Amino acid sequence: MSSKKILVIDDEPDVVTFLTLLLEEEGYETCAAKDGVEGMEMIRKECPDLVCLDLMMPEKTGVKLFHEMRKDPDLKKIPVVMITAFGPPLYPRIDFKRFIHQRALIPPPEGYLEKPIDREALVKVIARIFEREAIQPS
Amino acid sequence: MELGREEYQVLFENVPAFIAVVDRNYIIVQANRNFKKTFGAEVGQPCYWAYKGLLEKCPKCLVEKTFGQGKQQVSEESGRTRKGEAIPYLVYTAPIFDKKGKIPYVIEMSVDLREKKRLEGELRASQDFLNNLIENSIDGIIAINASGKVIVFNRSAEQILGYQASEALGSQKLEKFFPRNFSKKISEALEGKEEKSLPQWVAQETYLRSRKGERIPVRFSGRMLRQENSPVGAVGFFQDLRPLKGLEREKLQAERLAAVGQTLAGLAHGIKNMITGLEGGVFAIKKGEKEQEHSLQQKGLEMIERNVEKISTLLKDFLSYSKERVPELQWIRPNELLEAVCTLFQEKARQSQIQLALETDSKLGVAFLDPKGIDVCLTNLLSNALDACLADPEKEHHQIILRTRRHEDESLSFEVADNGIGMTEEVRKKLFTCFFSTKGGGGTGLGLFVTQKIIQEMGGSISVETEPKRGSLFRITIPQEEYPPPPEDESTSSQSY
Repeated sequence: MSSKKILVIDDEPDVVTFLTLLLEEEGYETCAAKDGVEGMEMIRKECPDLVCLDLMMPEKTGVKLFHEMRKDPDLKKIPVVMITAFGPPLYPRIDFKRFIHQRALIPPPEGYLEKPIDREALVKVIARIFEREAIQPS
Repeated sequence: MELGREEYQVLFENVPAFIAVVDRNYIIVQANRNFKKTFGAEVGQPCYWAYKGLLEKCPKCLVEKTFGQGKQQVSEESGRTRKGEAIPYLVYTAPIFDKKGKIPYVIEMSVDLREKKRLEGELRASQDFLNNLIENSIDGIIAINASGKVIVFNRSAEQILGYQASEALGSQKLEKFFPRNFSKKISEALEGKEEKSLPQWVAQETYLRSRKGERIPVRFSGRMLRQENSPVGAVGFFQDLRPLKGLEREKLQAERLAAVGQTLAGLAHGIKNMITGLEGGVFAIKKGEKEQEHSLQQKGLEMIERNVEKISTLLKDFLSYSKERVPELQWIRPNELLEAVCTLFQEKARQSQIQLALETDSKLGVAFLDPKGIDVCLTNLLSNALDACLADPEKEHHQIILRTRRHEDESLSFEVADNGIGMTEEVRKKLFTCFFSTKGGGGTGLGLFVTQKIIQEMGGSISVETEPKRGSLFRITIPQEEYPPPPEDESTSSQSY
C-alpha cells in the first residue's frame, strides 16, 4: 500500500514543522503551505489524501479555503482536519458543533483539534478517517 | 444781520452757561439768570464770593490775568452753588475794551461740568466693574494693545501660567503667552500685513507653556480687536483643561483595560500557537535523539528558542499596551532621531543586501515629540519594512527610504517606504488590529497596534499606502502648531535621547 499524503496548512512555520515531523513519524508522506492561497495551489498540485487546516491565517482564512474546497466537485471529497488555536476565552474547549453551524461548514470537516495539539488524538483522528474511507470507498 | 440790543439781552439771559461781567474791583456788574439762579449770585457782589464763597480774590485769579494781559483765559474751577454743593465748571474770561482801548470790564462765561463729572464717574465705575469681571473670571484673559504690548493679564492667567501680572504687563513677547499661530497672526495684523478675513480662534484645544516650561492643556479662544476696521489689539481667553484631562485619562485607562479583556482571546490564540511550537521543538529533539540525527535536534532547539523569544516579546508588547504611558514630550531634532534608528538597522540591512537610504528635510529643525515613543514606532516600521523586503523573492534590488518632512501647517511626518512584497487590500484593512500578523512565526501581531497607540497618544496619526508586489509606505504625522516655540536656550542645543 502506498503511503497517504497529508497537506499541512498553517501560517506558523514551527507548527508546520511539528505536524510534518509527527505525521512522517507515523508513516505519512507530507507537504505544507503557509496560507490559504498557497494551500489551494498545493491541493491542486499535490492532490493530498487529507488536509490539516489552520483557521486563522492571513490572505485567505482556513474557513474560506474550506468553503472553496467543499464547493469544488474535484476537491470536496478530500477529508479535512481543522486545527486551531481559536476558541472563545470563556470555554476552554471550543464548541465545534456550534462553530460549524455558525460558519455553515457543510458538509462538516471530518475532524477537528485544538492547539496545543494532543499528539495521540491527532494520530487517532487521522487514522480513523482513513479507516472509514477504506470501508466506504468514495 | 446785526443783532439788536434786545436780542443780545435774550441771548445773554438764556444761553446754557453762567455769564457775569466784573469790573476791576472784581465786583459783578451784570449777571445772567442762569448764574444768579444756580450760584445765588447778585449784581454788586464780588465774583470770588459769588462763585466760591471766598472772602478775598482767588489765589490764581483768572480775571486779574485777563485785565493784565488783555487776552482770553480758560481754566477748570470748582465753586459752590446756592445750596452749598460743590460745582465743577469750566470758565472762559475775555476782556471788554472801551473806545480808548482800555479794559474796564472782564466777561466770565462758565460751563457746568457737573454732568460731565457724573458721566466720568459712571465710566470709571463701569470700568471698575469690567476690571472686576476680568480679574475674577475663572478663564485666563490676556489682552494686548495696538503696539503689541500686554495690557491685561488677569488673576486666572497668573494662576494657570505661573507669571505675575507685573512681569507680563507691558511685555511684547506674545509667543510666551499665546499659541504660536495666534501670536504670529497678531503680529502680522498689527504690522498691517494681515489678510482681509482674519480667522477667529474659537474654543480650540491646544497647549500653552507655563513660566516653569510645563505644557498646560487649554481650550483657547482668541480674536483681534478692531475699531473701524483697523486692528487696535487682541485678546485671548483660555480655560485650564488639566482637571478635565485628568478625567479623560481615567476614562481612557478604563477603556484600555476593557480592551485588554477583549483581547485575551487573541492573546490565548497566540500563546496556544507558541506552545505548539515549543511542543514541536521538544518532539523534534526527542526524534533526533532516537534516530541519532543531529540536524533534527538542532532544529528542535531552534524552535524552542524562537518560541520562548516570541512569548517574551508578546508579553512585553502586551504590557506596553495595557500600561498607561504618558508621552514624555521634549524638544528634539527629528532628523537625528531617524538617523539613529537607521544606524541601528544598517548592519542587518547590509547583510540582507537591502539598501537603507535617508531623505531628511534639512529645514526641519526642532520639534516637540516623545523621543522614546517615536523610537519604538520607527523601529517597528523599519523592522517591518526589512521583513517585507526579505519576503519578496521577485526583485533583485531592495531599498528602504526613511524620510522626515515638515508640512505647511507645521505638522511633521516620518515616512518609511520599502519596495518589498506589499500588501493586499485584505491585509491592509486589518493592519492595525490587535494580534493580526502575516508573518506566521515571526510576529506577535502587536507591533503596528502598539505603534498606532503611541502615535495617537501624541495626537498624531499613522497611514499606509501599499500595493502587492510593489511595496509599502508608512507615514506617521504629528501635529506641531499647537506647541509654543522652544525656549531660546534649548532651541540651539542638540538634545540627546
